[in-house]
Amino acid sequence: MKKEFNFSVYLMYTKTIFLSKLVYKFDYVLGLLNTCIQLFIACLIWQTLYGGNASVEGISLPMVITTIVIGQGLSNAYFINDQAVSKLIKDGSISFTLLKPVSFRLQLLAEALGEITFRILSNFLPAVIIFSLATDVLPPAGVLPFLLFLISISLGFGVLWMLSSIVQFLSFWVMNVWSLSTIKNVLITVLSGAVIPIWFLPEKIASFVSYTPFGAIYFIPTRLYLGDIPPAEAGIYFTQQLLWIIAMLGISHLLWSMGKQRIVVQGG
Amino acid sequence: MEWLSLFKHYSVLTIKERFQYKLNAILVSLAVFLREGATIAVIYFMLLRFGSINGWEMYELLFLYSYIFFTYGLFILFFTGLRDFEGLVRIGSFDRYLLRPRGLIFQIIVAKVDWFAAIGHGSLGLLLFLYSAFQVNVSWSAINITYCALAIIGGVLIQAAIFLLMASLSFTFISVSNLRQILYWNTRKFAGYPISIFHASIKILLIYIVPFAFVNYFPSQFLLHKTDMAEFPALYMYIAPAVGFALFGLAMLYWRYSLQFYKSTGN
Repeated sequence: MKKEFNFSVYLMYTKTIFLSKLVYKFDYVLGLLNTCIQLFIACLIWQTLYGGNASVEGISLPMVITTIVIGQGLSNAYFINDQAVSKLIKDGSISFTLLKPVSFRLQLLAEALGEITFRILSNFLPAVIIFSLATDVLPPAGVLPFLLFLISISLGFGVLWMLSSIVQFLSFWVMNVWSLSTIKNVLITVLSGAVIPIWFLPEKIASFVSYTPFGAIYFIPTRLYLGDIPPAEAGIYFTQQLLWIIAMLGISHLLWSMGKQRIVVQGG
Repeated sequence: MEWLSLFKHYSVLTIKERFQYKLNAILVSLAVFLREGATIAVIYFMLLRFGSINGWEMYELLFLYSYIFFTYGLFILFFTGLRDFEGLVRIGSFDRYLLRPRGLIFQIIVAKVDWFAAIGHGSLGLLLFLYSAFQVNVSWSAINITYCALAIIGGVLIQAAIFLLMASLSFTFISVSNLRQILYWNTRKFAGYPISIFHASIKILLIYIVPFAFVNYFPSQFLLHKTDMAEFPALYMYIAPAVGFALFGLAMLYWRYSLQFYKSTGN
């Protein structure tokens, strides 16, 4: 069946999810509190580690705090339900979803963007404002670095989304993707630079990270923001991010096309 | 010894249930192990660069952390039912427990013995504990070993008391998961580090409100004698193992009292 692309349809999915999130006010307050507590602990720990030193290996404490606030703050906002496809397969409703005249994969993305937009506005930005007032979160290195950051952070989200979609589509083979999703998240936590900036990872691990997509999610954008990557070199890093997206899109597409063939709907 | 055979029977049932999906059961244990290991990896990498945090060195911090994992591993082996108790009340299946001729707490404990998660958490805790226990500067005399064992039991009971309190509250409030998220899971994030690095309000929280400090910080101090203990009363190190027993006793009394307010939600 040919599926026509109509942008406004997907925008409706995004809008619906966004509006549905507005209903749960208590969850929103709690979510913000959670993010603040988490960032607060992280900042305290790094402060204690620095113990009054202005900079360690050329990296200042405010640079670390900015990296943490952007990385961990965004990772709280990037709510992606890795088990969405798995749930549809289990209860069989995937068959209805596939019959709809919209692309299922774009629908998933549109819905996720609705939730994430909500979380960025209600959770990430307020937390950034609070922490800018309370601690040394650095402003962007300039207008150009900030614009490059915005491009790079969007590409970074693309990398994260592709990682997630690979895990999601593995649910055609694995009944419960919770464990795969957890293992993926562990790798992101340790290697993405959001919890421990990649500057401070042991050299061997840092060079390993440069061969993985993990550094492309939060760390490359943050370095552009800080001016740690000169704007002139931004092109190389954008290319790197794009290549990861394309490569993983290929894998994810392969999994999806093969997986669709072997759907067995359980129950009626 | 009838309770023991019931415990065994239920354990076999839950293990069989999990082994319906063998690959899944193994992956879940692995995922839990790695998830908790990630925290350790982060601390390890940090200290590799920075040497120490507030006077605590790598092995001492790992020792401090191992209490959290080890006690939690034992906790979920015995108290998973307590952790997920809210669900029992919400769907009304707690009624079934009330009708059976065995103690309620006993049934809650044995019905959900979670060996797989316990192995994921517990083995990491045990490995970490054994690995760090011989690297830190502690002479393992009979007194220290006894203290350590009691402190671990006490640590399990402190967490059990917190969850028993939540379970009791769920008779009157039904939904306590938000409260639990803030009180337990968030507080636990602080507890992995020496509490002396935190602001006074967080110290009060960790000592008097959600007493995680008695699960790992004070027991570790009894054995390690770090200088930052000076700001807390030395008494706390000695009573640490007893705190768990006392709190669990209080939580049991409150549970008995709350039971009378139970109204079935089922239909």
